Amino acid sequence: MLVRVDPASETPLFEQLAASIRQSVIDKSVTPGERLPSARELAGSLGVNMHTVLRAYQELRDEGFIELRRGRGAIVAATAHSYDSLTEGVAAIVAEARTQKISLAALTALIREEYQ
Amino acid sequence: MTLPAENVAPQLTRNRRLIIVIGVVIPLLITVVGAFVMALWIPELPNPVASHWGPSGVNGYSTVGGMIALPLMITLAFVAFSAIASWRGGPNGGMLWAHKVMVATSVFLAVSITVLAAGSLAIQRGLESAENAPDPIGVLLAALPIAALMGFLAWLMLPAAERIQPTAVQARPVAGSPTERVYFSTTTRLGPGVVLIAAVALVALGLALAIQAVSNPAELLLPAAVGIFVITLAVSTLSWRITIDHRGLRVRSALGWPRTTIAPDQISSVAVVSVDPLGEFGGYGWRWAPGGRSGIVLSKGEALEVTRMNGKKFIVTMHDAPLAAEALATVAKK
Repeated sequence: MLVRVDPASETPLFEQLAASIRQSVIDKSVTPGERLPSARELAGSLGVNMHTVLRAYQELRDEGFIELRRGRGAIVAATAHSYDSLTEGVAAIVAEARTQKISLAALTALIREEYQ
Repeated sequence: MTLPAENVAPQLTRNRRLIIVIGVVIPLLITVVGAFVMALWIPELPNPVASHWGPSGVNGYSTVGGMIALPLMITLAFVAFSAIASWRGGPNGGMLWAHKVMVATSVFLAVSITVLAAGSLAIQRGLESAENAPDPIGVLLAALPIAALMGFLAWLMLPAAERIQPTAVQARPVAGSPTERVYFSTTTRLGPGVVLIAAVALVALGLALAIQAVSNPAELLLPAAVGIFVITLAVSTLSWRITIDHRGLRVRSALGWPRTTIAPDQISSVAVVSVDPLGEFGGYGWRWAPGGRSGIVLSKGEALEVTRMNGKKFIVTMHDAPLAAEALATVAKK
């Protein structure tokens, strides 16, 4: 599992963390049942506050990617969905947007509107 | 001008002849001759003969037939194993370092156990009973140097070892801003096949210790200590946790020991290589190979290779080596 954060970026750190770990679950570099590093360890490694890591973990729990268990830390959820077909669909949409020169902001706006 | 093609057998064919002659025929010949000589002594030997000595004299007996057959069986099993293991040769048709070790060990093993068995019987010739057979420590002290010399001679008769030049793919830091921080973690473990073989060996070791505990508890301490150390080491080798962050590369066995760290300022370069555990390292686990290479070698295939500032290389096999190499290259750059 590779986690990348950039403190100089405008995106909040907890969101960067959550995005990185989410990506690891989606591309299967962590597998269901696997234990994620403890918040303390990850915070120490990345030089961020432990509460930032916990907030990212809570967000991922709310999205169903991981389970938080007292005393056992964060575990990749066994019920995590298969993202294979979705990943393909998104790739197709992004490719289509690129050919039509539609910006990322416009594309996300389209997706948000459709989803709500 | 035409080359005398029939005189130049392919390297692999020549090597296989050497494996058969040096690694199979010579060891078997030595043990068969040894067995024959021992068989000639049977009329003069007590039955049973002494086969094991403790601090206070003989404490184990065996039939003469067993003493004669044991070197044959052990040698036969080992030469078959080493011949099969080295038969395929290296990727370029040469003989790998590990193959040379196995062939030379076949000779060493055959000489040492044959001399040991024959020597232990020789000192019992003419004895009425094996109870007072003298300690064969002199035989042991003689057998090992002779066997080592023969093994060394066998080594000299083998061709130079083929050096596997792994094609290292240099890793580049992750594309991103210079303020970016990375964390990488993964676990790497032994494949199920190797685990099965190790489990069988460990169960055999455990059984041997149990038998020793029942039959001769007085001499249990040293074998038990060695046995428990070996078992602990083997179990701790099964699974490793690898972590990469601003402190560098950390590798830690599932039991927490052994472990090691390579700090970023010790890293000269990072690459992904393809590793053949048996051919390059002669086995699995924490391994050392010629050419300043060492590391955690648990599976065939991709591995992270770290070149230190002093030129030595540290290798960890893992399924997501390219990602690890990228992360470590990012850390080492800063």
